[in-house]
Amino acid sequence: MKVLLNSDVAYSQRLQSELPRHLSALAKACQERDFEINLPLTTVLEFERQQLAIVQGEREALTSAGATLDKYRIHHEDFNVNELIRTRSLDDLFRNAGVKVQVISPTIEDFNDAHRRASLHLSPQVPNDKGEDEMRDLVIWAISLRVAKLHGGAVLLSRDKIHTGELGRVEAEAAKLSVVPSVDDALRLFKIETPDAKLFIELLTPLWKELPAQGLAVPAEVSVVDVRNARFVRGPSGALFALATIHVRLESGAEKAVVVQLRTPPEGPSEVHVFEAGEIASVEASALTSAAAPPAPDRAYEERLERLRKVLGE
Amino acid sequence: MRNGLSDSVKYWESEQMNLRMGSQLFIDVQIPLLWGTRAIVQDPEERLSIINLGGDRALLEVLEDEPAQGIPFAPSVEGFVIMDAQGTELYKVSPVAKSITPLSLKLLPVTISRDAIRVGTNTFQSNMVSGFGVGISVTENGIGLGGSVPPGLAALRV
Repeated sequence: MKVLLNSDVAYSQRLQSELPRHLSALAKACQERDFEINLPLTTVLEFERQQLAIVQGEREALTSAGATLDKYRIHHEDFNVNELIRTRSLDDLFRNAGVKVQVISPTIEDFNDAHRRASLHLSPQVPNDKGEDEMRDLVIWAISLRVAKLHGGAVLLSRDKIHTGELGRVEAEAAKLSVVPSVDDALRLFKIETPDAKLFIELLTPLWKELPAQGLAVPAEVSVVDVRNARFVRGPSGALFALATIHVRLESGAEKAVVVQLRTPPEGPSEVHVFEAGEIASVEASALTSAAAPPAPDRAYEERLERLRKVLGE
Repeated sequence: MRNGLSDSVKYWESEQMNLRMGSQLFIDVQIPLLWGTRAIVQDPEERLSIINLGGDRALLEVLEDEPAQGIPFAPSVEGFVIMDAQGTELYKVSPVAKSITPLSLKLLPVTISRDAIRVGTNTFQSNMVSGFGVGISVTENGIGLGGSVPPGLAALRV
């Protein structure tokens, strides 16, 4: 599988010496599955431009600091700001994370394709009268379609309206190009445990043995295949309420989708309830606590609230 | 221009605050950064809190970089997603990047860094906003610096 990145997903306001957290998660996920990151040259260059602007500011600040020390005759080692503060390319950062990466330069066909779409206001470009220059986005689109067709499918991570809009959907589907707006969505697409799925399974695991009594004939070991629409509500003193649609493998080997509701009160046993998929099991904060035993005041939370009240001038 | 008193938060009923946030200095404002119906506040330790003023009373949704009690959420790679009671994903909060990204809300993303407040591609840097109801307002229709509190919002009290 080839995974392409638009520049908006790689955008950073800081000088990057290693991948930011979300891209690091993507790199790890791709590495585990032997997926290859394909970076359109456009994305690499846009990242470089942003980083150079940041580096320039940092170098000026350091030069100015050196000049101030000199002014007051404070001794310091000689330094070369260009040596000390350097940029790193986006492909280098991915390569260092251990994932296979390739920079894809646009071909003359990609440019011609993008040029034609831009000039004729063709799909996936949204017609606009603002004179917006969408050529770079169209080049990335052309590269993504080419890579997807060449390899029988690809994923493009992009939040850009040109890439995510309705107009390009048919073309993307025909090329088997999946467009997702974030790393989380990409991980979900890869069927990798996402943070929400991991937390839900972590909460469900101690209660797994109670599922057969609720009519769900699951094996002894946890056999969750997929977690969808997980949501959580925190209550006082660490109480947690969770709800999700999960796909489980039954003892028979078949798969079944059910809605599972979990409650972990601050004291006393946790609870699990299973509903048929489609049944409504609403998240209610009131379900977090037992009416018979009101929770003790949550001092840590109250302290945080008090700090916010001070900021608000209350 | 202030709207009719009957449908607005009364200036003298609501607390004023002085706050430095994203290199802006907010003096005597009621809401430093209004994102749709939500007040975004960053404390001196750079932790974000978000309060929805769209109902009868202020509803705390994010407290010091974490989902507030009673608010549906889901953890994500970059932080967490805040949802409504029906499970609709409203917005994503990244406590590391200090950014708030709309999901179903039709607003521009906001990032509060040390030197600026970024709203979409617009950057606010080193401004002083004094004596206004709202410091920076972000609506579905645009962005404003210094304005009155829109009518119908709850007072900013938690």
